[in-house]
Amino acid sequence: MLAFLKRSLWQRVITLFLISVIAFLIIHLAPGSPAEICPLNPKFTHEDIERLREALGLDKPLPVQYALFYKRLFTGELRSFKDGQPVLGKIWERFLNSLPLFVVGTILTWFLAFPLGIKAALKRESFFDRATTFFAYLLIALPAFFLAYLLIIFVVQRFDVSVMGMTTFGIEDAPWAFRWNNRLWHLLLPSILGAAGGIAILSRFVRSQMLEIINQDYIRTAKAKGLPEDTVYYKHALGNALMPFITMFGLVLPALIGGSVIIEYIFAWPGMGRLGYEAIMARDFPVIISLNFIAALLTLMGTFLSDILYMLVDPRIRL
Amino acid sequence: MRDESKNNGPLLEIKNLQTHFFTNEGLVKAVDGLDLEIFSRETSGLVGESGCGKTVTALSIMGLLPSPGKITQGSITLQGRDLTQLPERKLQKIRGKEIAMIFQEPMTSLNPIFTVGHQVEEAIIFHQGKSRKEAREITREMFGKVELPSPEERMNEYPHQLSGGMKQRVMIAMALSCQPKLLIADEPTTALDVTIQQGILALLNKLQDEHSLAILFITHDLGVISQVANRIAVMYAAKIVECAQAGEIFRNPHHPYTLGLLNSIPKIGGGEKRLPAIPGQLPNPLVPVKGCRFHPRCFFVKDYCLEKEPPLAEIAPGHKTACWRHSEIKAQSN
Amino acid sequence: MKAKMVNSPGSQPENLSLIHQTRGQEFWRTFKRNKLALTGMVVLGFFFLTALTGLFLTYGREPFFNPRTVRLADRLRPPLSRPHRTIPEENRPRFGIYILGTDDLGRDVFARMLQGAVVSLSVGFVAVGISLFIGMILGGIAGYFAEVKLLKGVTVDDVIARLIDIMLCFPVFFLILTLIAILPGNIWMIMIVIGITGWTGAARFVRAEFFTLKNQDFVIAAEALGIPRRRIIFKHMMPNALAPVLVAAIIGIPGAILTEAALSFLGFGVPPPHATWGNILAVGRRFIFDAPWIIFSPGAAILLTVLSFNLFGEGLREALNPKLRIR
Repeated sequence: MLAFLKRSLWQRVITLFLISVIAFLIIHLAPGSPAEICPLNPKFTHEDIERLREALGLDKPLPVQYALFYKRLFTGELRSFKDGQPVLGKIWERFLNSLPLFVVGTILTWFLAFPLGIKAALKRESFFDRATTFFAYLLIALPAFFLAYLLIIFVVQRFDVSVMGMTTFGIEDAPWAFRWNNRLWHLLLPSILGAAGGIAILSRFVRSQMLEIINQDYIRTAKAKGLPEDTVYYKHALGNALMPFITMFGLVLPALIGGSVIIEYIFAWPGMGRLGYEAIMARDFPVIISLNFIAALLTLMGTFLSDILYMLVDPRIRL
Repeated sequence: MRDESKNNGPLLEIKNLQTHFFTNEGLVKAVDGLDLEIFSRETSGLVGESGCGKTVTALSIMGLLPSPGKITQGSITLQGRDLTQLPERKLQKIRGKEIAMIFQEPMTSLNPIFTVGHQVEEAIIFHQGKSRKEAREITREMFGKVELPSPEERMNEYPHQLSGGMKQRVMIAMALSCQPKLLIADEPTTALDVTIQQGILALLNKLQDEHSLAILFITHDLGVISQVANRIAVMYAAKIVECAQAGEIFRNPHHPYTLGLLNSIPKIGGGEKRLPAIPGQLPNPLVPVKGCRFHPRCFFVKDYCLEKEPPLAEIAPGHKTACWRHSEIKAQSN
Repeated sequence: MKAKMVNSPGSQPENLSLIHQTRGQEFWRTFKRNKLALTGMVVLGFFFLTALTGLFLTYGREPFFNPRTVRLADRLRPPLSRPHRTIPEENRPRFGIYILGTDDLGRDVFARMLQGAVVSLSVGFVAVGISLFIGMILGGIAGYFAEVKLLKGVTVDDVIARLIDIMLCFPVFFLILTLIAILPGNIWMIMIVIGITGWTGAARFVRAEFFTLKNQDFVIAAEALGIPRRRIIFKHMMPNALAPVLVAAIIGIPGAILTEAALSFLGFGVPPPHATWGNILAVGRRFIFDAPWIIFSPGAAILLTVLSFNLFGEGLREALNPKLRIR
């Protein structure tokens, strides 16, 4: 058991190291010196390159550059090109802003997808199954950025509330009930959007997983024992069907950054995704590299967590 | 107590059972007018090729037909109650308690995430209303009875920690834990090594005496059935074609299919003669065969066999067969 | 005694035809029954034709439908409206009508949609093609040479598994944004970037497939016969792994289309003035209350395309793998 953990941890350390190298090297895809600027690539100006050279020590040999960059990142010395603020502080601040979106979205996703998927599987071919299948396909195919505007048009015209940003500007002096109500309205749409695709995909996964388990021999055994249906499905089948989702649970963390770019962009939500978008627009390389690196770190932590969970839940690994 | 019924008639009586699968490709009559009687304290063998409908018969009795299967006609009577008419709730009370079943694949028939002890206790708690502690006690006793080594330890183990033979013993313990009257054993030894097979067969014979159990033993292997069965029913293409006492079937077969099956068993001292196989294969279940369903593969076929299907008729006391020419077959087989 | 096989008239021939159908026939029979997948296929066919004709009708200096004509007098006109009378003859839309309305510069949304169709479909196909190419090679190597040791007990499989791990750790969309922002922006670069960030699925698929194939008798037999490795891999194993991989590709294409649309939407896609569904939407977002039709056309087009691909792909997968038929 400990050996399994040690192996799993060791693998992740190696992966993290390689990721840190790759995240760092991405920057070298950019033109290295002012002279190398391709006249066809209007994205880089001479100042950009100069700033890059200075901040990252591009004159020094690669290993030194690498060490220098991560030393600065972890000691908090690394500063944004855009406003000179420490990168870690910036990211932390935006992380806190993203958190409510992420938490509400994740809760919506997991608490809706599982009952829906399980019910669809148990009532295969029923009206409920066909209806959820139809909506799942529709939601998977609807681009988030299109659905967002459909929802905005609907909510704004129907309820006449503003939905952009985290709160409506200039209501700091309003009574607390009003402010909370306002915050909730602002939180609602982006969370639903963040969850929509996830609910569709996850509920399909749950359904097919559940269907596969229901057809296993041991479910027939449980029925042959004369156990009531609820015990057969919710104890014997669900327990097995949930296993693969432990892995998926480990992968929700990185969605904090990658999954939220579009939604935070549309709703002008000052979170991690929008920070990434702004950094890319401003060629703020310290922030870009750090975000990539931190996202990878979160993923590795998530998958490590799911490994541990697996070990606790699945007797076949618990040796 | 319903003891009187035990002594008079059969424990379980299947009459004209029709189990059909409504598949996308068309109607499959997996069981097509099957008659079978199972008596207390006896082992009834059900023999036939893979795909002839043996397992569907078993699942029909259990009420566990996978969709799109349905019993469309006939009755399955267990001591006066027609199982095909009972609601699911009442069937649950019968499953595991009065009729238990063990399966072909011990490797996959146990739930991988629960200990084997727990999986046996579960049924005892549900059917007999025992406390967890009592159920554990019974389970330990059952594990001893099925000759699992160190039963106490086994109870806390997970299926992946046991061998195939041990898993089948756990399945048997589970099946017998609630003292059922009938045990359906669907090819219980097919997936096991020959030496382990013998152990399981001996165990089943022993437990049958101890529990005065009726067993419906399903197999494609005549060698296995000869060791356990009192009565044998031979099934071909969704129907029983011959049934009789075991000795009678082996000594005195009256259906060409039974004859073909018997001839394909290797005999010690049989020389290097090539074993005769039954030509052809089971008919496509989607396309009903007109006349006798065995006629395309039959050595004794006559024109009238193509026209009319022979009924399962009693040709001697306790011996039924479904062949127009059964009286001539006897002569040819010797 | 010889076996005397008697054919009863009428039953045997059908019987045979049912058993002896080729894999292709069986496949088509199953696929055909899935009405949704069939609809998906028809809609896709329609989109392909539209994209192809759209390419010709919007191509060149004097195209049949001009997506570039700016008409300031006709800004944000709703669908099916007629041009303003001040618009000169040569700038009027074809058939004298704005089928899908106009955008904020008075450009014909219908013409722009036509032009964008090619981009969406070709990005989808090329990007997934690149993913497949990388994925099949790496997955094939990982599966076939799994146990080959490189140094100190590190196997080929380990190396590629680590590579896949690394790819999976990056937030894909953000990584794509990063790369597109650094690299020179054109449509090929977008295809390449989407392609090289999306190969892990195909790789894992082929790896698993090769892993099982490798131990199957026909491959072992081929090895025993001394058939060269290259031939075993490409002639004997790849075709067996191909069908499931192709299905995975079909299901991957809508993902790539969505990614391209999202990139265009954020302003990182194909540079203007070339229209794509994503950048039509990006323009429309500024006028959602005044001119909702601008976002509606590309939104619905993307929705339909992605939906059709998914339904079609699911149908294919089901038809190829009979076990999945009990969905």
